[in-house]
Amino acid sequence: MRSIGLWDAAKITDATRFQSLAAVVTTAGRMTSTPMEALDAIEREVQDAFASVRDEHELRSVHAKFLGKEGSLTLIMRRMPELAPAEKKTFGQAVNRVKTAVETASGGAEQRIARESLERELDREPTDVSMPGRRGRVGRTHPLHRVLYDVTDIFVSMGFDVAEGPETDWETNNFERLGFPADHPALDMQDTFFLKNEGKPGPRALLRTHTSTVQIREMLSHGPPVMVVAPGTVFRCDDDATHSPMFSQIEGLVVDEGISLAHLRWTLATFAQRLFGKNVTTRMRGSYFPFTEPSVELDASCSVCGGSDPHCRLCKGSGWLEVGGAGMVDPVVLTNCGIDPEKYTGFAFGMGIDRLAMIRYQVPSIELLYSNDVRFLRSL
Amino acid sequence: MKISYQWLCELLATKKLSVESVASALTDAGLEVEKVHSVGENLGSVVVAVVKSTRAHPTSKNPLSLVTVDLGGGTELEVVCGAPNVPAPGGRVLFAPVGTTVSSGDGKSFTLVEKPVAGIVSKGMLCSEIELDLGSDGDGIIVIDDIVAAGTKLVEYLPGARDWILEVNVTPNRPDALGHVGVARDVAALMKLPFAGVRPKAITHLIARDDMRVRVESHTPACDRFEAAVMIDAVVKRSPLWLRSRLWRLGLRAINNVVDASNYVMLELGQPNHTYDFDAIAERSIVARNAKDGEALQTLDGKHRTLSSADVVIADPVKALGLAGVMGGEGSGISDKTTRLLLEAAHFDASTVRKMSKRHDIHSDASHRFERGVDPNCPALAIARLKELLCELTGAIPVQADVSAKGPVPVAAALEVTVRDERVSKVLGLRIERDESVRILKALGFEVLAQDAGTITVRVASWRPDVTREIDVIEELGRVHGLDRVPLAVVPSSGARAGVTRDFSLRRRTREAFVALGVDEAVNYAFDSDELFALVGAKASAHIANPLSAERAAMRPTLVAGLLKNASLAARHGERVIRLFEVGTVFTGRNTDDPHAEESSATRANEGPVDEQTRVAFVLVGPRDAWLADAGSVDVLDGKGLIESLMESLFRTTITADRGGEAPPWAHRASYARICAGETVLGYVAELHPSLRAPLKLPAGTVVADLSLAAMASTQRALRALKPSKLPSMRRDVALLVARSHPIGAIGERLRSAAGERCASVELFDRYVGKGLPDGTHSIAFALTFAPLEDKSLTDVDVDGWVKSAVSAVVADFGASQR
Repeated sequence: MRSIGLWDAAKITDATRFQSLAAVVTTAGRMTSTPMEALDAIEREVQDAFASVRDEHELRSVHAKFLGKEGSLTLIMRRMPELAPAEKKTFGQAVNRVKTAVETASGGAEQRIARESLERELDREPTDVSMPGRRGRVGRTHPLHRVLYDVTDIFVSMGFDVAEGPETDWETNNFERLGFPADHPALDMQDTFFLKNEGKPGPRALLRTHTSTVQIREMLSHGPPVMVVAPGTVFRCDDDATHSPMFSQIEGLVVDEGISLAHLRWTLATFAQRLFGKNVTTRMRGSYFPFTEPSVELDASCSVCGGSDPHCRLCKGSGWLEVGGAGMVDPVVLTNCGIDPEKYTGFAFGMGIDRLAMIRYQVPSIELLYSNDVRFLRSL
Repeated sequence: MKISYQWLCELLATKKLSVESVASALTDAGLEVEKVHSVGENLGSVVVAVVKSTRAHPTSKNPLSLVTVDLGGGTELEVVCGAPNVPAPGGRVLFAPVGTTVSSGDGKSFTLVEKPVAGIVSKGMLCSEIELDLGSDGDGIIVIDDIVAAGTKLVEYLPGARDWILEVNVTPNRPDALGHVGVARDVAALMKLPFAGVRPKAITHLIARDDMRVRVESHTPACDRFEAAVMIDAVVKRSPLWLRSRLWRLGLRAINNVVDASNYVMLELGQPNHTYDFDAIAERSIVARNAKDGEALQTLDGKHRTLSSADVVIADPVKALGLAGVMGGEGSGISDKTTRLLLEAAHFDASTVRKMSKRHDIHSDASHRFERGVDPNCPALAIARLKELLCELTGAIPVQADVSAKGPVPVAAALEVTVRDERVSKVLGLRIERDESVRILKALGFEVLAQDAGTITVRVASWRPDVTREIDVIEELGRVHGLDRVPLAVVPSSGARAGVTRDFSLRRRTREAFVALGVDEAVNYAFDSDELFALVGAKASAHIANPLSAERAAMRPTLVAGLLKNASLAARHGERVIRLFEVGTVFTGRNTDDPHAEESSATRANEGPVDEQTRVAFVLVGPRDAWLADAGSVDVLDGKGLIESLMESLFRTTITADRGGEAPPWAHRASYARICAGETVLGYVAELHPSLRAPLKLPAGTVVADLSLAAMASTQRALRALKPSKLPSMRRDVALLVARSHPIGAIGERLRSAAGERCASVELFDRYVGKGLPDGTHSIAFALTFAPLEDKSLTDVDVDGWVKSAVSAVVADFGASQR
């Protein structure tokens, strides 16, 4: 149903008012007076007539009452013959003056109407902007991929290329070529999921325990220089509060002439500063990985407390965050990949994406990362 | 590995080291101190008290006694005590005054207050080992045998009572750090302290007893050192407090003075060793030999084990006495009645011990050390040290009949390694002065054999099996000199490109496109159960041989199953709107090629043992985006639309949908679409099959899609820019009445093809089915847009003519009529 709004009400009152307005004009045009007197009467009406005009339609009507075909000024011109020749010039000038007055008043009224119309438009009932916006749903990238991409971007900006390889691999690429000693406890550092061999002999197939397999494939596919990061999914048969049997990793490898531990340190320190902030400092300490010698851990100063808070949620009061394990590529690994370790040296590093995601988003347990609980995903 | 700070200080003969400096130096050098436990900080007020008299509690029904003790300085106090072993007057006990915090043995502690016990106020208590956290004995109070004056503080009598236990993460390459001596040696090298190692006192009091001479032999290459000794007149009893508390603090339970001494030597030197009751050994003969297949042995954990020839045992001529380097056997151990001791320390092959440990699923302190590689020169030292301790603790006297045997394979000569100064700088990016290098190597126990202008040659210490090459020595120099001193050097940009890539950026862009289209990303495990895959009609072709559980044994052949599981979970949680996608790897078949084939490495760098494919899948459940209005649940066309948007945003590719191919098992047969781009099949989108709704608790209208990312990406073509005309285009609407059996897509295509080359698009904008129309028909309305060619204006006459041709074509081909 159509409602009667403010505009309709305005039109009703205007119609009444307009009738009285027309009456004034008619009275002024009466032939009982001299043309000059009649002109004076018209001139007196001009201001009032336009002052009460409310819209464009009225404006046109009032304008026509003076200057239209039957307008009072048009009609009064026809009374020119009644005048003496000497008066004609004066009368003509007077008519022109009144015409100008009509046009001026009309123009003024037109501007006033436009202004009033704009005001009315702006004064309409305000929209309740507390209502929900009309929108499409916005999705969420998985937190692991957000962190993985941020981390990868940093390394790419430092000149690394991205290398990838299969998630299943041969034991040769995952362990042997990396110089893992056979029957050594170092193997326990990476509890491995093996694939059923489905009756086929030959080397064992497994789920890669690190993306070092990609580094091996990279070195086998082309010689130095090598400067890649290998992001990807890896697997270890571990499942507890801090370990997931599947997790994400990024490893880096640089092999060229003259590469030293100092280059490794710059790389990881620069990375840490870009990830955690300019003010973090780094420390490098000894460690052990079967495929690097020397092996190091690189720590960054805690970006939250800087080591000042013994109860810091991030560093647990140690003041340091482990950025990743790293080291100089063991000469055996280079040799296994057909690279002369006397001529070339290289460094490698690796870090867990899951832990970085847990730190960044304060994820309380690692299993949440793989729960795909929509409430978890959409909270980030 | 738990390391006692006090013990380190004793070994280094210094009291000047702070705990923090030791922990931080070890951590920096690769022996990461994960935690430092401060222990005994509550024992400062505990003193030695001498019992004066004891009387029974006058009223209590419990066996309480009132003990008057002398606290020194003329102070005597009557204390209520519930222990059954209060010594006779003159005996020494430990007294904790009111205010002392003591342990209740269940991990909790409490502070002593002055309160009446059965009516009598006690101003302190006489303490057990548990209460002072010095041991495991809570059955009675500690009684001290040593002669100590009343009032002596416990921490003066027993300095080790106040200690800091360092939890050191010993990496598998450092078996030497599994004994306090090895850690102390690192501390000495790092903090520039002198360190001479452990040197047992020469024992002068020996008895010659030919009748006790034992035969010791190794008949296996797995045992290349085998040392033994015999002692007599041992008194087996409880160890003194210092030994019991030290073992306790380091995580071992005290047993008796003989076994405790054996364990102490292991914790000190890192050398596992064993003590036997001499009288339980047949024919005074022990050998190390391979076990016989089927040979039986009951190990100390009480389990009966069946051995094979791959096992190595210590045996007398009658029976196996223990699994070599892993665990001793029942029946030959030390008992209260033992007086004659056979001590044994050997060196076993690391790999052999590791295999035995795995095979029998025993992880013992001994196997932990042997499988990492124990110093082959340590057995003799360990025997000497053990004898020294046993003399002191048991009063036993060594028999001058020590014997040792070497295995059939001679112990490898100690390695000599030459290190080039230039190589050190090249690897570390840091110059280490020659003096410093020599200092470090000597401090680590390496013998410097020769030096010249650019090299040092050393003989590697026998306890460092990880050091065999120049690079290993460089690591030692680096870590002791301080890796944190390595400067930062910008990596010279090499311009290297990756030779091995898959679809990293493609997957990333696909994920971002989905997210922009309002879909959330799931990341599922790459493995799940065969049952789950069977539910959606899929079969895994690769399985894990050693899965964590059967639910995680099959490598996923599809992403759909995991996503449906996720959606099902969300629906159970009451989520109405579920939009999930996953971009991930599926495992579709086994690759049988030999990875060792020579040409394989370069050409097949991307291939692994399993065929892997990247798939793109999504599931949509619940109403469309809207508010204050019911926009209805999603259906297969929402799925199709999502794919259209995705393909347009990623590749600017237009797709088509038809009912060709074979519907996937999870698809509703009335509502599925094969998605193609030109001739390429991208995958399928469908409403979920009705029979899957109940098991997954998902509503009707659930939409599922499964696509190949490689196929999607293959549709990408080079784009060519359009030069837009300055002239307006024209639109004409066409309404048709037509049978519903004709696919709307085909009608639209026909309109388009018949409307001439100026027709830029044909879009369906209305469809009506129902009242007023003949059965089986619907009214469909298309908007045809015509675009002018560059500067040539379209005319109404031309456009009307084209529309007429288009309508004629669909009237002719589909029996449509224009409305």
